[in-house]
Amino acid sequence: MHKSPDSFERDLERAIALENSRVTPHDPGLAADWALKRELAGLGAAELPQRVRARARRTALAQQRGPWLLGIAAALVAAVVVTVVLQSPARSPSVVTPTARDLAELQFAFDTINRTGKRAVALAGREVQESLVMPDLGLAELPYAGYVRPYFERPDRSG
Amino acid sequence: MGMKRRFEQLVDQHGSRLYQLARLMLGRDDEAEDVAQETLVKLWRNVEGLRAGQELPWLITCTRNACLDILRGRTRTRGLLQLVASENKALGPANDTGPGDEFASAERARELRAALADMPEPARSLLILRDIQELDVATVAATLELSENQVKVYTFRARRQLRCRLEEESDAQVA
Repeated sequence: MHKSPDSFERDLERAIALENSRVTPHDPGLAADWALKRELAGLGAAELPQRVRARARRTALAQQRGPWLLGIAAALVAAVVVTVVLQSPARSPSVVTPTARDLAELQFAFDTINRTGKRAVALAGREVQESLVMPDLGLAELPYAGYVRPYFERPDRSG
Repeated sequence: MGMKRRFEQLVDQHGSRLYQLARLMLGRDDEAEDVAQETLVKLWRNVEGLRAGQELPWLITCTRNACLDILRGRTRTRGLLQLVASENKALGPANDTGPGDEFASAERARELRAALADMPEPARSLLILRDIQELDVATVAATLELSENQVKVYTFRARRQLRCRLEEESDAQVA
């Protein structure tokens, strides 16, 4: 569309002549242009389908409602949070500092558990020792069975 | 005037024009409906800020830009599948051909629309806005950001170009 200025002026004159023409121009080229212009004008209008209009309205309204709904939801959440915070009892964090007596009592409890536990294990060991049957470990087949057997057959295997 | 009322009024006044513009630019009803809907939703969002008298150029610009985006996308992804889909979903018999129309005139209208859809920009938009929709020069100039004389000359040249294409097609068919 970018031609010389002369060409632009010439086309402008012809365009204006064509626009102002109420009947078919004498010039064959302009007459053909004129006929095409009329044909194009006769292509007619297309009606905007009602469904497009309705869809556009629905979408627009939904978009408009969006921020409001989000605002209401946010306000609800905020209200619940505030209510919960206000109704919960005020709890200040407490720092417990044990006294020397507390520590002594705790130590005594641990010692008692330890001592009692050891006594219970020893007693239980003595009681069941006699009833235990030594399992056949197949030690005789080992090359150094003579060295190993005493360890397994010893009542106290702690060392 | 309320926002809703102004919106409805503008849709009444220009909705069909926008749909027709999209339909002629894209050559497909389904895409034209999507573009028209998108433009109307944008109108709803912006209706309060639009100055009186500026609505039509704004609406045409929105519609045209949306169409050009689709056309650019088509150019990028042109392929067999799309061609098949286009043939299946091409413009229907439409509301612009009455029941009494002759087959020949319907065929001619189809040819015109197809040739128009193949025109480059801004020639296509100029022909649609000036010759088919018969919008005044000032509105088209404002929409396409051209001077009024440019609108006149470019439309004249676009029409000539379209005529040449139609004549070439016609000659090819005869041959």
